[in-house]
Amino acid sequence: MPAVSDMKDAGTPAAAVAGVLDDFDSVADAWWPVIFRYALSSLRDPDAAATLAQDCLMRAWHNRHAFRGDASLRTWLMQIAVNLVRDYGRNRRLQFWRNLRSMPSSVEAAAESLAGRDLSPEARAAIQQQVEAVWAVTATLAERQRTVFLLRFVEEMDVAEIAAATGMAEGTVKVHLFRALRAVRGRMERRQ
Amino acid sequence: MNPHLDSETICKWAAGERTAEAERHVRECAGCAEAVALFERGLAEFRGGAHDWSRRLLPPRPAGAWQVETAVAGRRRAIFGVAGIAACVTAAALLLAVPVERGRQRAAAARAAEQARADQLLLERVNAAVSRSTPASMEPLWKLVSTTGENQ
Repeated sequence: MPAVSDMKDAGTPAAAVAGVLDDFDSVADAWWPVIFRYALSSLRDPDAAATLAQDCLMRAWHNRHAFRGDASLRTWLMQIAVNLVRDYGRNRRLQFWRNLRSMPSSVEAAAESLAGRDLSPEARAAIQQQVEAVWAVTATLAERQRTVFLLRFVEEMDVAEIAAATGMAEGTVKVHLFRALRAVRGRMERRQ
Repeated sequence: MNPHLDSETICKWAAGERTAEAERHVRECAGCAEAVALFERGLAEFRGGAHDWSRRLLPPRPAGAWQVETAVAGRRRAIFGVAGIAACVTAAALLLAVPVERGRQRAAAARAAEQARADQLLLERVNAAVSRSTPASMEPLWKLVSTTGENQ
């Protein structure tokens, strides 16, 4: 049987994928960091992200018998996470926007990670600026654009997977992705 | 050489929509290749930063919230299981008891009907005896008197 974390291939037999949900602890161990990361990059609030990731796994566990393996395990879990993030944003609109605008430790973390690399101060500053620009822009994107952008550039999902996880048509995903990238690039160019 | 890639084409490039013409131009034009690489690097660094940040803040997974639910559900199943078995036994006992009770009732009804018939016969005999014009003990005398009268 393939490892739980490898359940991403369309070729994995549905029964094998569905059967792996019987050992839900393994599923949770494998996907907890991924769901938390998506929730964190979306909400920028570690506590809310942890709660949401736990909620996501609970929902997956409750609905595990409905999972037939038509989509990959990752797509299925991310679909739940995307819905939870969207609901969180709608229910706690004010707090959500405050978190997004605060540009929190994500940028500091990126700076620390850059500091450990063998880069010239200029290169480091340029990269730092770019990363800041991307974080800043994602806070201003429309909800769907931000979702698509984060799934593509943080979670490295392809267009088909994003379409399955968000329930959008592939063409719509491409449009949102392009608009998000245009906004990011515009911000980067202004900073240069 | 083709004109340089504009910002929109670079965005499409980063989104994965690369035309053959754009690819050829990037191969041939150092400036556009650098612009594309810079943009892609920014996105890659953003991804790296997001991953680092998440790794740093990742809390331990709350252990087995579903295990608790599973245990509760198991206990509930066990309780309802015992109750279910008890209900099944009761239902089976009731199903068995109904025909037995019906048989018992039928036998009692038959006995009552038999008794009623016997009572009726007795009543008819009593009635016949009571309804006679001459009591049974006076019957020989009555016969004698009747015979004497006829002879005269």
